[in-house]
Amino acid sequence: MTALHASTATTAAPDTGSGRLPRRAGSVVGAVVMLVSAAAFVIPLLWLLLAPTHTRDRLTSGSSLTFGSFADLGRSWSNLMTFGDGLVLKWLANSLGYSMGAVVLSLLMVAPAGYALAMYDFPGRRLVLNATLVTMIIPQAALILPLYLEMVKLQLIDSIWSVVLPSAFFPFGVYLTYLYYNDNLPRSLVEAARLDGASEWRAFLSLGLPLGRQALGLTGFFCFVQAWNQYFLPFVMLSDDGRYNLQLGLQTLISSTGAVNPSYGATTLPIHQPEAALAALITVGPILVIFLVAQRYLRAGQIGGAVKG
Amino acid sequence: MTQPRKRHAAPYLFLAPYLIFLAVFGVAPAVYAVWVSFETPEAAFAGLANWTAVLADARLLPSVRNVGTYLGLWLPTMLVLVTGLSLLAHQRGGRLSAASRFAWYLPGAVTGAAAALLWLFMLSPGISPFSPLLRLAGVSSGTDLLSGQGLPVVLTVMATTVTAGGWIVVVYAALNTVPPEILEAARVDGATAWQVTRYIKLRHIRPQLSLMLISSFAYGTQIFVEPQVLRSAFTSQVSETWSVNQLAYFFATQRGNFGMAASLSLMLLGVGLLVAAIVIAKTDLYATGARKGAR
Amino acid sequence: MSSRPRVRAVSTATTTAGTALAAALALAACGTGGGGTAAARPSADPNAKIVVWADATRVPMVQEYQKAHPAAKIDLVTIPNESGYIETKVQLANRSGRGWPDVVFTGENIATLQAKPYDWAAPLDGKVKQDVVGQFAKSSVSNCTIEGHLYCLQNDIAQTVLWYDKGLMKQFGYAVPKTWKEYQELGAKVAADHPGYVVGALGAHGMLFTYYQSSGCPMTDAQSSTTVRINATAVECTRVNDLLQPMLDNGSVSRLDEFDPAFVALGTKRKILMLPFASWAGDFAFKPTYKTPAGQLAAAPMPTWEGESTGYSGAVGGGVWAVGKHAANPQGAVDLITWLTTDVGLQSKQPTYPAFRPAAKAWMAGKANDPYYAEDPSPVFEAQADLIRENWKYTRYAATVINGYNETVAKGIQDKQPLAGLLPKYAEQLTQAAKDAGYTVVQ
Repeated sequence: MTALHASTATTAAPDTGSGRLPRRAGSVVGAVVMLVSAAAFVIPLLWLLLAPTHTRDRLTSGSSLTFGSFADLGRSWSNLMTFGDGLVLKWLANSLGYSMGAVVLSLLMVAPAGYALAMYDFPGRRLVLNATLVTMIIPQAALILPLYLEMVKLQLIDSIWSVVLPSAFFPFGVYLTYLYYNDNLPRSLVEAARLDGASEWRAFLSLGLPLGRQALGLTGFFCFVQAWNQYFLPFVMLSDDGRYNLQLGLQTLISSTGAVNPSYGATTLPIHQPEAALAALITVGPILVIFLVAQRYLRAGQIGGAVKG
Repeated sequence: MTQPRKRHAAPYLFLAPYLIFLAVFGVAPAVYAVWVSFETPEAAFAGLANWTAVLADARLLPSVRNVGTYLGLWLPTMLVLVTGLSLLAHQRGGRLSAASRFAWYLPGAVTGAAAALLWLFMLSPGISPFSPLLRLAGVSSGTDLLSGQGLPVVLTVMATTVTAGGWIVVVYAALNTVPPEILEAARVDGATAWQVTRYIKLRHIRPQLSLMLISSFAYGTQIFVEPQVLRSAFTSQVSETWSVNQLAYFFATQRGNFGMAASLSLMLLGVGLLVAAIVIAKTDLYATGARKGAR
Repeated sequence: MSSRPRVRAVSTATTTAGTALAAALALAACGTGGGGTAAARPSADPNAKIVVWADATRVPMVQEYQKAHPAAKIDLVTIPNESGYIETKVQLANRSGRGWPDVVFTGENIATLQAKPYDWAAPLDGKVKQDVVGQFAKSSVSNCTIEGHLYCLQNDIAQTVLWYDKGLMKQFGYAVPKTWKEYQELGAKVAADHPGYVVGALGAHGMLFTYYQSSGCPMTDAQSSTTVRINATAVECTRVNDLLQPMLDNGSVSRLDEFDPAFVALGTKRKILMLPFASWAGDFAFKPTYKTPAGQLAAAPMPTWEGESTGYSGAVGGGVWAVGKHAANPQGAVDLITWLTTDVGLQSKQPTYPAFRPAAKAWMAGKANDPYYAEDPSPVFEAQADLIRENWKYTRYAATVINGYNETVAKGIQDKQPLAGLLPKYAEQLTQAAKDAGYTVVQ
């Protein structure tokens, strides 16, 4: 609503007669800039969608951005499936499992944590916030060995938990929900609930959860994206290719075939550019769907700083 | 009597699950990383050896310079592009604006290995849909494109397409929260569109833009995946220790020296913390958060 | 506010934390099925599982072994073919005392894996029969021998040969050069009479082995496990510079990576007259990538240097199989890699030239009738397989040999810097890496 007001207010600003022409020209230029930049952003995606429908020869001779044929798409698919007997599908299932597991676990801890940090003053609050911020920006290279040794101690190495549990630790989400509750849930509301005899837990369930839905949705979204993109965690934790996620799997696929660089050596695997593009598409697909769904949240949420890398 | 006691316990109970994870997967590994940075590869005490070895390593300076060049290109690009496109989209409104914002935002879904793979294709004349443009620029091969200072430019383009859209969504949302009264008042005062933009809108979105710069700074200093994957196709143009983070992984994976990797990472963390501390001091992020964007 | 409730609260929180952690562990315990199969065991167990790590191309080989030996218990894992992957995993396993692979397919980094801090590879002496070892190509055995012990069995050899387009050569009226001098003169002629055609490329590490190794330029000349000779001013290096500099300048040798799309385009336009390169290039570069038509391609022996009567080769790749110290079933693991490298039926079907001589014979029988080649390349392959220059060893800085060439020499070539200046820079980089890896460097 306010958007409409704002834009009509500015466009309806009074124009002097001489200012009208440049204004219109400016508007055309603006439209062109928007269209061109939008096209530049979307063309790579479009290419990725279409590439698997081509044969290797057609693709490398530059007939991108057109639709090849379903027969070629089928061939790309069956070629890709020969890689480790459909290993790619296994990786897809793993990625979905790891990411959803991480989202569920992280939401279970993020919601009450963000709520507590925003609604209570207690000793140690600032310490928790500081620790959260610091752990958010630690470069992962420092953590390879410590996390690995920890997982060995916990006897979780090479299990799905060695990937799910660290991915579920999502300090950014705590920060996000904390900020959101800080701004959107007046403490007086919680106080009123208390006066009505509600317990602390009841107040969280009846006020915190429903009012924090947007922040929690965003947290889930970012946590999913983050967990989906994990590369070094599975690289370090997993030794069984059947447990790889898609990111690690895609790198395995690219690095052991001539798809990107034929000097990787002599290989007879039928994985070439169209198959690599198809594998990339499978890797991107689910996240693209999540993006489409989340767009509503992002627009409605309007939380400053809610988007990270 | 029981009520206040419960209230004291409540925040800790609410925080308990998170605190366990914070301790196990955040604080403990970080503390252990400090310990590792004083260890030899055979887990004996090394004193400051790892730290001095990192600082004396001939690859450190070039990698710092590379990341610096990249940030010097990328951050201004983001600032100009995100501000410009957000203002443009906001000014126009309507369907074109919505569609453009959607288009800008979509590439954010393509990250990690998939993004790098996609860009390998985009940079190969012959395969790339941008081939005519590449040819026009005199680029006959990916090697041409990456030679000289080409790599930071390519990385800038990559990172911009991935992250700009998300920030445009944020900044656009913030623009929507400019109080209509203020715009109305400006209109009555006879302010031009330029003046409205300059003095009202730009000022209003400053917190979002600075947040973007900070978070992009942290993200940019840790750049790793993109050069690493570009390397797999253009081995002669992209060094395996091109970025600081790559150098840290090089120590860990190619030299088997986790101690050097940890000390370099901790130095990187130090820079990040310094920036974060300045920001927190300047904006008091803890108290007000992103209040302006949230309304 | 009194402090008592606060203390209570903290202790409650700790208790909760404890229970939650216990619950998390219990929960997690359900998911730990297959971990920890590779733990070190004091005595050998002939029935223990063998953990095998291989890249996607070699995985089918191990599957063949499983088919031929149904009783063997093998845990086969496809690993990323990425430099540093095995090293990282081994180093992590060293720290935790578990999780080592028993058998890996790898390459020149075997020297790294054998030495500290990795200390992973196990000597094979006594476990592989001496007469079997004797049937491997000479260079393969010397590659795998560190301090007098055998540490790996070589899978394949990537000896270089002089590939040439027989049809084009005939059409232009050229004879195949027998010496590098003739090669250079032919290059000049091509540049003058047929500009745009090339007789070589220099823009990637494959060509380091093709030209510099085959000449014997001492870059990884390990004389013991602690001493290495690196000298860019040795005549074996400078003669290569002198050979190629004029050819780069007149354009008969390309400055590009041999797999750069722009170089590949030369191939598809049939402008590659000659290319000294690995034996696998016929099947995996000329045929699928450069698309040289059938019946045109042929292989000649490597040209000779002045004062030498033999044309030596370099080696562009070539993988090895190795067994780890921590294998629970060491004999089973050794039997596995012995079969993989010496089974004639298996090796004769492999895409690359087998290092095991009897298998190579069978492999060549398949090539002899391949209609793709203008003439049977296998006699040349066979001769060059035993002529790989010997002062070029696997070292603990093998990764820098490749990356350093690409980042320093190849990039410099593309930026039109002279070879005479690039090579010393490269040698300096190698010297540093060698010292980091614990070598004493001599000139």
